[in-house]
Amino acid sequence: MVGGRYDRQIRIWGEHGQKKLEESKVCLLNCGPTGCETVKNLVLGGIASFTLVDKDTVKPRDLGNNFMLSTTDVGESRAKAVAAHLKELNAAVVGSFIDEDPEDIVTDNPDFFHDFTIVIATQMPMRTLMALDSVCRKQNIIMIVMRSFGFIGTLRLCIREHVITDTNPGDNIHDLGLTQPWPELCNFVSQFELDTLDGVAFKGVPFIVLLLQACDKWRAEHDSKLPSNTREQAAFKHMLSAMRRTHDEENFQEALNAVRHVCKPKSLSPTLVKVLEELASKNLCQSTPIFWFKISGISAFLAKSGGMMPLVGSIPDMTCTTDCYVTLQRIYQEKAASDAKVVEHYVQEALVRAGRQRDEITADEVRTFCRYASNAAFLRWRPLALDSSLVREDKIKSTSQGAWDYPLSTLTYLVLVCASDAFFDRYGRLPGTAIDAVRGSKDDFIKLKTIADEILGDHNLNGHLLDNLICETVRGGGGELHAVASVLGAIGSQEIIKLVTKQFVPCEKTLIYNCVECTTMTC
Amino acid sequence: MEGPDVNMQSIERDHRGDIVGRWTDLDYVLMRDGPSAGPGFEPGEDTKSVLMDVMHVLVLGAGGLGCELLKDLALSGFKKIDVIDMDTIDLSNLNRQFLFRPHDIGKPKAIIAAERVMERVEGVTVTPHYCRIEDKDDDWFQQFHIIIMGLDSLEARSYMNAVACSFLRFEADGTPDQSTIKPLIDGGTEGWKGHARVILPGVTPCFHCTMWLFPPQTTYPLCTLAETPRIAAHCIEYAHLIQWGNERPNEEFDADDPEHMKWIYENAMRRAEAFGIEGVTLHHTMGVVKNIIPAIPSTNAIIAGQCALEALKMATMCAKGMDNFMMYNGSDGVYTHTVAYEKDPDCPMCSPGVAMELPKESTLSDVIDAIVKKFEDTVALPSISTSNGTNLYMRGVLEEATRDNLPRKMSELLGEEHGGGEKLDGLIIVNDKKLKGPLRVRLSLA
Ligand SMILES: [Zn+2]
Repeated sequence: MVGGRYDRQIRIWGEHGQKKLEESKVCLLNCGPTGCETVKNLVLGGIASFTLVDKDTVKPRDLGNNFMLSTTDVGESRAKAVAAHLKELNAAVVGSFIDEDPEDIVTDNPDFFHDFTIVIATQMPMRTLMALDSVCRKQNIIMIVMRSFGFIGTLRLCIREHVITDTNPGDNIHDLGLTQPWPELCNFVSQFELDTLDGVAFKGVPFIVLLLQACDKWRAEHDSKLPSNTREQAAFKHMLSAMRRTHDEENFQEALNAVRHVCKPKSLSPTLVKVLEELASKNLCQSTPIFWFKISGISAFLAKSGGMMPLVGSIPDMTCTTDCYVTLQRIYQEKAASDAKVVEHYVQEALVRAGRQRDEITADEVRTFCRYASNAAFLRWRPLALDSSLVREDKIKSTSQGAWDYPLSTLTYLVLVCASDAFFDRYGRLPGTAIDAVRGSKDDFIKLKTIADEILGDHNLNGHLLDNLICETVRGGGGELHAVASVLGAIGSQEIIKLVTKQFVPCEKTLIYNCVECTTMTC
Repeated sequence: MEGPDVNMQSIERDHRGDIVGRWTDLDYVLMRDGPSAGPGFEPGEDTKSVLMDVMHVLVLGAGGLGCELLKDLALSGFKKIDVIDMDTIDLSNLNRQFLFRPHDIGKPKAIIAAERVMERVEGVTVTPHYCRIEDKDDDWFQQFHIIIMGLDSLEARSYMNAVACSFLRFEADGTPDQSTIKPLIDGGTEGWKGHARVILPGVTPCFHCTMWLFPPQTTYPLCTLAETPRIAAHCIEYAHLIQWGNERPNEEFDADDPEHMKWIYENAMRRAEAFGIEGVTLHHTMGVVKNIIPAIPSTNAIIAGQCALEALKMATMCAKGMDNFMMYNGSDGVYTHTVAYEKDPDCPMCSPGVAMELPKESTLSDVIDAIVKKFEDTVALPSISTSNGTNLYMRGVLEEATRDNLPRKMSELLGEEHGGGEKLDGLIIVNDKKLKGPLRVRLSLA
């Protein structure tokens, strides 16, 4: 609806993206500010439903860090109170809550999670997260892990497989196909007899025509070849410039800016190359997601066209007359439609080969897919369990050709998180939360450092964590500062939106947000 | 681990009236030192008291960023917050301006936002101002320790920047007088992108120093609109910028009037059909005419959160502050980049200017003569004003009105800015046709 509640975001992810968001069912584990802020943003965006799981009652401490709770809620079930406040934000969203320990549900009732599209796990110990990861992974449920402590926030997505069909629908992709002009375009171009045009008409010739006529001229003089190196490109530009009558013809300026498009066909994006490689390793069958059939159509098209992608069909605005522009636009759209038809044919063939219905996919869907296919991407996240089995790192590297890359910085934060968990198991509280918080923090520093060293030693890793990092971890007491939680939760909701809309590129690695340095680091 | 359930009666309160234990998370970083602490941080109750009892902050804008900022500041321990916004609530705000409900549509944002935050966060006072920033006297802004901008217009940012910079005074050696620095924290978002920055006028670049960061808006040449429209936006802008004035000359166009918008849409549509152009929709028409910037809750929350953290760091020094500009982009992974931009040494807003020493008894006329002599290559017929914008001597239409100042003592003229008496130093602004921009002169009368 124009000007409606979601107008400003539909301008980003479109009606189709909004529809996917409105079908999403979200489960939040633990109702601290990090989780509540994440769900708040999703409720505002218009998800279908949320379910909150939390075992606690509202404590005074919640009033200092969580906007979804207020003084009158103290003593109430935290999940219930938060659910009530979240529901006020958007009447279209269904909300429910469960007063149970999320950790118990993971152990005792893992089927519980099957009903959800997204599981948001906040402030939970690593071992529970690993168990939850394997539950979600089996169902290909989107899981997102967040933890904020003091000035630091960490975020990690855990999804078995994710495909992006639309990396950036906001930007128009203009592949003009100038390296291989097709007959209709060539006809149009040859209609222009530049020498006969008067000044006004001359300035109204589309740059595409100027470029392609210059190409013909160049080919005639250069053995039917196009300019290939920078020296030839410069000569080509010189030739193009010589066709000018004055120096203020904007169409010529546009042509000069686009010279590289005639010299070299647009290379495939690295993400699409990865998708095509993945396709090669797949055997398309009854259960294969439809995405892969669409990709197989693209792959077959590429094989036939000599590496040219199906034409997108849109053209940028350019200096020319209305008639020229409209005609040119029609020529491009017709070519895009005919390319899409070819892709559709290949997709249907692939479906039939896999024993599926030919009409399982509509012509419209193929057409849309072709528009964005050049930016298609395929991502997978390694199991969370591998994060903490640092010792197996070398083995992982050797078996998957370096697919899981593991620089020292993640390791640092991971050890820190695991050490905090172990501290909790050993002392029944988080580091930095002794009753005498100021004096106790010295002790806790030593204790946490000892545990961190033990973890490193267990995995035969040399060295220590930086004292500063341990010191700051103890100082923060594992606490959730509202503004830190708000930033982290917002990043979390953003990643979830990218995942459910299958648009834009989510964060592939562990994200560490440091509000002191004002940085996010991924590793 | 599980504490006993607390009910309302047994809630214990501290001397501030706060429920005991409420600020546990904040206390960890305020009561204890650490390697991330900023210069001069002193952990303890005094610092907490500065934050909670002394600090008075102003939030500009109660929109997408403003709502988040008010929440974040209130939950970061700030207890005295003012907010200015001149807008009323619209349905399309509700996807991110979470303090508003459907029944609030049409009401002033500032007032509703203030009410909602006070309802939820006990002990905070949010004072709303339903007006334009320009409606407040410059001096009114002096009462705030930190000003946080959650604005969507360049003009409003520029205005606030000019006001904050006008407070700045310099020592004789050109270093800023620390007590006159009015810190600004600025946030901005557009779709997945955003920025947060800290402006300490005289220390870090001001908004004007880095004007180039903001690219000009896209506009279409009028001849394209009139003669060779090619895309839908050309037809829409033709109806909006040309046709409206021709066909409804006595009416001011109002983008918020649905009938006006419909008229633009229908005319754009007819024009598009006549030219064979596709793509004119009401959605697109509104986007073009209102220059709608796409907005999502998450980007606003990220930027506002970082701005609020900068305010917390600035007020308490519990952590090092941002230096001085952070950009964010969430469309391809999660990307941030923090840059220490540099001040423009000739900035007409925040630079210390050129030092000039003159005798104590100098008149405005003497000052002008001295300036013309010192800058003979670039200044011939200067106009002079104070850094607060008071005209002292102007050329052209205001010449007559300001001529009487010429024989007056400069120290008196500077003193008038500060409620009378004499003032022996001050910043004056020199304008001259031959100058590229205003020249700042730091005058000292000894
Ligand atoms: Zn400046």
